Amino acid sequence: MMTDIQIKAVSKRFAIDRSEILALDDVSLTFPAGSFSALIGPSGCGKSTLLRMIADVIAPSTGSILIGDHPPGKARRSHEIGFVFQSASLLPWRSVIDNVRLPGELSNKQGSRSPEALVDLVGLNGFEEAKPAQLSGGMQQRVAIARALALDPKVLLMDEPFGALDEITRQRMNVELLRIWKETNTTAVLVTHTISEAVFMADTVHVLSAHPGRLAASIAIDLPRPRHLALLQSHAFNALENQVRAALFAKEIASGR
Amino acid sequence: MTGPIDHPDASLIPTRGQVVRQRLDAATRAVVFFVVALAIIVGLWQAAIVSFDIKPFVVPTPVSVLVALNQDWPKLGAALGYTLRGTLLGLLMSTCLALVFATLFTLSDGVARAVMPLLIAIRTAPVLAIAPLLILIFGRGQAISIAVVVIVSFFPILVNATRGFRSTDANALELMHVCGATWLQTFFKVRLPFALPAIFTGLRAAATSGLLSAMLAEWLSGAPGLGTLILEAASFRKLPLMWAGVVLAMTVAFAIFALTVRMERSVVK
Repeated sequence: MMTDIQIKAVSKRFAIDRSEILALDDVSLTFPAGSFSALIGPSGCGKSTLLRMIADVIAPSTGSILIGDHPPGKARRSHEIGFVFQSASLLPWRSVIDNVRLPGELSNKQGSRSPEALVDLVGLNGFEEAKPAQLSGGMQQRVAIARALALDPKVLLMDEPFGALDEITRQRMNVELLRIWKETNTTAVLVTHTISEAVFMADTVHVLSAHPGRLAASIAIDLPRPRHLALLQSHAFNALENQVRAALFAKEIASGR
Repeated sequence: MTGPIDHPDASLIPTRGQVVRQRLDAATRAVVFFVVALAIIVGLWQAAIVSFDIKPFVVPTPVSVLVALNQDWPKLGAALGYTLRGTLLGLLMSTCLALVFATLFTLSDGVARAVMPLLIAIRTAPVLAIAPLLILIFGRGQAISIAVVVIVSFFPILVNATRGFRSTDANALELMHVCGATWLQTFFKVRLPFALPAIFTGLRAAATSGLLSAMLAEWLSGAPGLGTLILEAASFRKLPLMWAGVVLAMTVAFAIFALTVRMERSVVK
């Protein structure tokens, strides 16, 4: 019942002022069913572009994407995609619970968890009737996660969901997100620009290089789950961080800068 | 780690009751200020007449205006009812029309580019100049009042609504797309609510000129409304009656404005 995501030789060109920019160049990847993957890379490496192509927000120039057996468009229309944006993007006139109810109102599907249960899952019980403006950034992002999970999505796509949060809140949210992901059996893809976040969360960290965006390395993270914050201080964790860092800065390291 | 840490206290969020009480306090204060300001203006008016010895055929006294308002109330009330009906129907119609056009403009830039110059042309043609044509089309009854109100008030609502529909938060639109929402769902659940403040800005601008437009139509058509009553009172030098009509028109225009503000408050949360 779990779904994998296959990226097959995907390239993406953007036209900017009559010149063309190659944002992604021939990227092939598989996100196994039920896994947690991280995409990391410098800005301009096309990691957000790739995520938005999986979500059928933009179309690849060449190549194809499959979510299970279906192209992204079909998956999107059957409400199989949960997406968490960098900004929480809550509807400001709706209360917390009504924001979580939104995906259900847009389809005739019903998730296995009620909106109330989802608000509870992300740790916001007591705030059902609060308006987004009354919540902190971290709490708003919790609502966005609950909303993304409303219809039991087969894939959960997150575009730097905690990028706007402070370091302390972000690490706490990371732990929470792992707990939530474990309870929902979705295939999760996290776009991030923080090395420790990528290593802490993922089964595999895919490193992209920029201009043009190419897959530079895929690093398996064989740390045991469940993962706790204490892990951040372990040698194994640091070694994996260094491995990701080496892949990210391969050019600079080679040229001695 | 069990509970989330980044929580403020839920009890700090004001309850519905507290919000209502705050609003009521504000409303009471506004009424008190208004009554005081009105009393001062009327007092100055009376004092000016007495101290500068202004003749009643130039400016009538507040008392005589009040007397006229009381004596001629049946006449004034009937005229007001006539004008108000035209104003409200006109405003309702122009709001509906403006929202339909703004929606079309949001759907297609081509439609906007083709239709907008025509609308601007209609809006800028002086009503006095096209009056004979309007009277030919709409007759001399209520219809022409409605038509003039629509012509004058349509444009501000349209421009603001179009801007509102187009300034929808891009993230919210992307969210609706990812959630597999249809165009109609996106329109009613996201575009319209985001546009409401802008729509009401247009409606407020239109509402203040609505009554005036209806009276303008009566000056052209001679229909038995407040505009005609004021005009006739002026030509028969019945200054207290004329001023009673003017005060009534101002009060009602203010009431319509206040009504749109109230509607905005109850709709835009």
